[in-house]
Amino acid sequence: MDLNEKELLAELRDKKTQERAFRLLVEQYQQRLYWHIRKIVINHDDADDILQNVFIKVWKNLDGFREDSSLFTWLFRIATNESLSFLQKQKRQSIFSSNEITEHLSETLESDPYFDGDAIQKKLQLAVVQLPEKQRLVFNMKYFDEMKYEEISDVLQTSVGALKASFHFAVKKIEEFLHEQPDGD
Amino acid sequence: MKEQDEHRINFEGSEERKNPFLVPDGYFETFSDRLMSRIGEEQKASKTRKLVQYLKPALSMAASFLLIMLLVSTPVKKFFNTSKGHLTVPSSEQADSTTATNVPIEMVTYLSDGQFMSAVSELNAMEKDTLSNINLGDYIEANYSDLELVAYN
Repeated sequence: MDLNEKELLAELRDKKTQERAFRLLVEQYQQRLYWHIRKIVINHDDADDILQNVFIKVWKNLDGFREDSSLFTWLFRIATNESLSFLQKQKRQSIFSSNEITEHLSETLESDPYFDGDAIQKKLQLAVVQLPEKQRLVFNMKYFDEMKYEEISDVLQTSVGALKASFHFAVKKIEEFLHEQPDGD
Repeated sequence: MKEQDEHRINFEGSEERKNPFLVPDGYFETFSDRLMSRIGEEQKASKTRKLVQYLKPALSMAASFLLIMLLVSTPVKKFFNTSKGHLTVPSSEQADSTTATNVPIEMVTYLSDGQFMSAVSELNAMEKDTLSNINLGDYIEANYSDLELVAYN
């Protein structure tokens, strides 16, 4: 935990400076958290709802934050859990089965008005949404967010070895998907 | 499995890592304001919930007390009304008029009881009068013939 983070935490715990410090926290982390969530749930509106819920949880649990991990790790962990809970909730409400959720994410991607990628990028995203949940998380965090395995390990609370294995299998599956559909779309 | 795994994905273009997603215009600029207003609303709602939770035991006790009062006072009132009904027995004319003005059934029942008691007491009085005032000799003379009287003797 660096000095800035400690100062921010101190201000967050002081009722007088709490609101101003919280705004700073939001402005500092909103984009990284949003993109992390967006890559999991794909849809912008869902990502927006989840991001708001994440920060509301953070606001309510500021006193419960133990400084044994960094603020960034704590925020990423909450965002990841909220996003996965959202997908689980969709499955539980029988809107989608496990396979259908992948189809739903692919369809959302195809019809997303806020997708600006070219054919290659779309193909890669379509390949990523085919992956099992854990592998998808690891792939996104390693490949797109360029996080270190140690950081991912702190967020997902999984060993570095297991993360490397997940990433390896994810890459293998993506390659297979890309070779099966060489002409894209 | 190697760290080089990520380099195995080869694309013709070099920008595959570029974020292909977009957000609506001004989304990040307005996000913190929208978030803070939502937090403000939730805090207000939470305060109301807390106040209700705080008052809940007192309100529950007051409601229970009111309910007990109602449950106790109704039979007590009923009991005293019944007692009154027996103590002040109305005359038959009063009773008839009361019945005619569509008073509740319970009241009619009480008045009918009173009316009955009144009739009994009037009858007793009449019987007393009959025995004391009417001449027995006159009665016999009027109702029995001489032959009947001789036969009895």
